[in-house]
Amino acid sequence: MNELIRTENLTKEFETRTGFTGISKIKALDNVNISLFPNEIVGIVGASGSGKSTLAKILVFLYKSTSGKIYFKDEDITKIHGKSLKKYRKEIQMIFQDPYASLDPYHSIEWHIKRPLLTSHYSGNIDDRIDELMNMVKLTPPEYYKNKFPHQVSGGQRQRVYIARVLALNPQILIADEPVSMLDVSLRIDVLDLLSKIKNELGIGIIYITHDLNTVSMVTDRIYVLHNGEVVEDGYTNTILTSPHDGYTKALIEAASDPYKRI
Amino acid sequence: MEEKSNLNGKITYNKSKKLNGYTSIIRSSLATLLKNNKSKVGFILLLSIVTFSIIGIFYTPYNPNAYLFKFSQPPNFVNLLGTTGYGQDVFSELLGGAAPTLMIAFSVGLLGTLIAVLVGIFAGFTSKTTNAVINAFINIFLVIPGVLLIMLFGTYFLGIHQNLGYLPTIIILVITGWAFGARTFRSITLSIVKRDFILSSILIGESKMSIIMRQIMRAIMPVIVSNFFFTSMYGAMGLTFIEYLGVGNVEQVNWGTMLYWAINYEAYLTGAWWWILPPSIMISMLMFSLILLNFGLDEMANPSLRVFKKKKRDKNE
Repeated sequence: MNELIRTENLTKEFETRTGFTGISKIKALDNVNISLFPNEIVGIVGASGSGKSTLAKILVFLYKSTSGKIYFKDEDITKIHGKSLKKYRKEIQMIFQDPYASLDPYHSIEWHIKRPLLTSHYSGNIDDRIDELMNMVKLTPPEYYKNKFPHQVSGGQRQRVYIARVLALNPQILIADEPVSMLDVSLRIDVLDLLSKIKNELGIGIIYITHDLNTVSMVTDRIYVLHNGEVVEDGYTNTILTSPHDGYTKALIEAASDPYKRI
Repeated sequence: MEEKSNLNGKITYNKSKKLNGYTSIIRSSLATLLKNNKSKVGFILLLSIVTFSIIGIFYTPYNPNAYLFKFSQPPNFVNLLGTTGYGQDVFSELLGGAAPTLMIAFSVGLLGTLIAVLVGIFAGFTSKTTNAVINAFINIFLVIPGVLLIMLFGTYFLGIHQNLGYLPTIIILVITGWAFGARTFRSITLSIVKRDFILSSILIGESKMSIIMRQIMRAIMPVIVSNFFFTSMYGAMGLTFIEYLGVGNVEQVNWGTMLYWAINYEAYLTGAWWWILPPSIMISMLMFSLILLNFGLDEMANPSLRVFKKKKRDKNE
């Protein structure tokens, strides 16, 4: 089975100005090699500032990488732009961290799901497709939610609306950038459930970015541990969580919350 | 078969909804505007001034330009607001001068806001360098002293003895009045473009035009309306100022020229209050109504405030 997406020595440097002429460079990503297969969830774990979100934004081309290569189905897409970039973006979509910010407050939920269908020139009946998508993400009955505005539904429901919005494009890859970190703890399981259900039903690959090791063990098949922009450890989730090699991974596992632990 | 008829029903339902959507946006924003007591007063005040000016287009008791009466008569039954120092009827002048004043105020507001929106959104949406160039351009217009430009152009147009009506006045006021709004729109657009819901639309594959028309314009609509009111105020004030200085065409009848002639005749020294007060009060009322209307916009700009009220009403029902 071929990788859906693969990065080769991906590096990203941010430039900051110091003084009048000096430019200092900060390495956000350092020779990152990751891969994603269809029908799997890959976790990218790391603390804040480890470059997780930078990686996500490079993969959807909101940032440009400094060096390194990105392959989509064995095709070098590092330098695509214009029409081919638009085509590629239909295949790879991103779920944002904050569902309160990722939905336009002035438009109804139906609008959010309808727009991607219109931009991708969906050939079938649009209303039927909207209903289908809303049922898929368990926003039922669709009629009840369609004309509501984002501020009228809960955080978990907003994230479902957003997932329906990106699924409308039929992507092959979903990048979920901390999709549950802003949600109420009791709602997290539902959204994660939904993600793995989508993976199983549609066979798409999901990159799940988080700093929360508890949720990682629930949904991911493999994980990459990022530390200061470098991949310090990667492998199957169970293997890494039970027998970590790297010191940083050990510290992360140590820090993961355990309801019976007291400080 | 059933499904098909169902589908048809759905489609027509959606179409009618869309029509309702546009009218309901206007109706709901008007409703929120009227819910606020201050803006309600402002709205009624503005409406009555506009009605006053519309009457003035079609009917004035006497010809406002003709010298028909005795000089400087205080208010009486023949001349409701007395007569000017030249023998014109003040009330007729006030009525006839309303429409040009309002026309100039609102056309300056409309044109100024239009330019501000176009330049501001374009600057906020382009590359960094273009943005910097446009910003510098806006800044230049921002520091141009309006008064000086008005006097310069005004005397020029007077000097060439060309009667272009109010056109030069409008052009000067728009040139000196658009830049402030453009800066506002530029900075608002810059902040909105970086938000997640716009990034999301870019990823979804929306075109730039669609994002601007459907999302950015919608988000800054209250600011556009508020900017329109402020620029209109600037227009009314600017007109009065130009005419008061006498650098416009003083033969035209509007509230600014009324003041010019009153000051020219030294009405404040002869005690002809009925000549100075009416135009001053009307201009102040116009400003006041526009300011009050802006208060209501605060509520419109923040949709969550509106939601709170809606929810409350639902509970009552």
